[in-house]
Amino acid sequence: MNALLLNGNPNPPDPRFDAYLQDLSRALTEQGHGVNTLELRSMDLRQCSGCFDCWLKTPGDCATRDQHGQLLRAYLAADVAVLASPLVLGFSSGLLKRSIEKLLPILLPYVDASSGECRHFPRYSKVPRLAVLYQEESDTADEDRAVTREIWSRMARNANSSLIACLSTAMATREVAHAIARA
Amino acid sequence: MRLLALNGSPRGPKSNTRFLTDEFLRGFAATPTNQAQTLDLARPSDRDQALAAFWHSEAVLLGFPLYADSMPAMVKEFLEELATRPRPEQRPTLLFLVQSGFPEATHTAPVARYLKRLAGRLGCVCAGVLRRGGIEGIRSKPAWMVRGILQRFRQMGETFGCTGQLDPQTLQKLAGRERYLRFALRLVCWFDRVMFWDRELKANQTYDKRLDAPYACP
Repeated sequence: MNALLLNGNPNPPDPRFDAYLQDLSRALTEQGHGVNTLELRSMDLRQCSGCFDCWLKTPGDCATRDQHGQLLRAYLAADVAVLASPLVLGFSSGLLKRSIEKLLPILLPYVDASSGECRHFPRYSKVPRLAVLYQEESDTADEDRAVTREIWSRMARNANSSLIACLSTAMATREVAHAIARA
Repeated sequence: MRLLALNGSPRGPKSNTRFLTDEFLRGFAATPTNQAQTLDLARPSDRDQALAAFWHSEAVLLGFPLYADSMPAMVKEFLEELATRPRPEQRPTLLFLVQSGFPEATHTAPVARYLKRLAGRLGCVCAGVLRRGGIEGIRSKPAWMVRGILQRFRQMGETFGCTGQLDPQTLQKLAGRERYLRFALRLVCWFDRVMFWDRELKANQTYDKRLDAPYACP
């Protein structure tokens, strides 16, 4: 299995979160899996401006000159993409969210309603399954965990993927690695 | 009442979110003593002004389009920065406006749940979340097609401007149906494909490339 770790630890980074991801990467490698980590805060990823050029003018590619190509290549090469960030104000970081919005070119503009609910048709036949990994805040409650899971589940569905796990850094890295690999 | 309206659309002043916000503010202005200021978070100078004005406002309307099933990253990053600023004891009442391209209300429900929680985290009262689907392209639709929806937003603004509150049942009604009949949805999607996407692709001379997959794994 090839895992992509999207490290959405924002600036200034929380060193505990980076250390946890390094441990997780090691645990996955020890279990025989391939790991590619993208440190999003070090990448030049501009905000998605909602221009739809990636559908209408340069189909399949974002028109912005930034590092979206590296992100898209890594995403499509993975079997599982781990959306990782500390929770900030009860949800994943804006930095992680920014990278997810840059995945819009993996979808076609056309809308599929065959399931009885709208979502865009996929551009690629294979996309990775998704796992969410978060570090809780001091006041994280069950409602925050539930909302985070619900939002990312919907995002996974609408990206023609599925959310296989919603995991916390309170768990041991080996346990998280197993959960990611099992799915 | 003094209302700060923040447009969280990355498309800025020419966005569907701004279009709906302006309609809400028309209704809000029906109470003569009300004052409103609108800022576009996509503009750096407006963003700075919004950070400075937010905590000192009586009420804040934060509107945005649904991006990947929640608020645009631009809005989340704004909120993260806002939370680091000193907060006064007296905090604004928050009101949210979320619009989506897909017509079903089910798409905007999870983020609405988050926004109510967010208001509490910021120590603010949440006056409600205005949600509406099927908004993509609203600015270019003929007036007769959008009259009803704009009227609803105007009425919402008028009620909020007068009472400082919004009725949960009215908000639910504005959100529309959770789901639509499969047949009706498929018809709308087909119409959308032929009348909008394919036309635009042909106009851009990219119709033949519409299914390109430039990042496919070798």
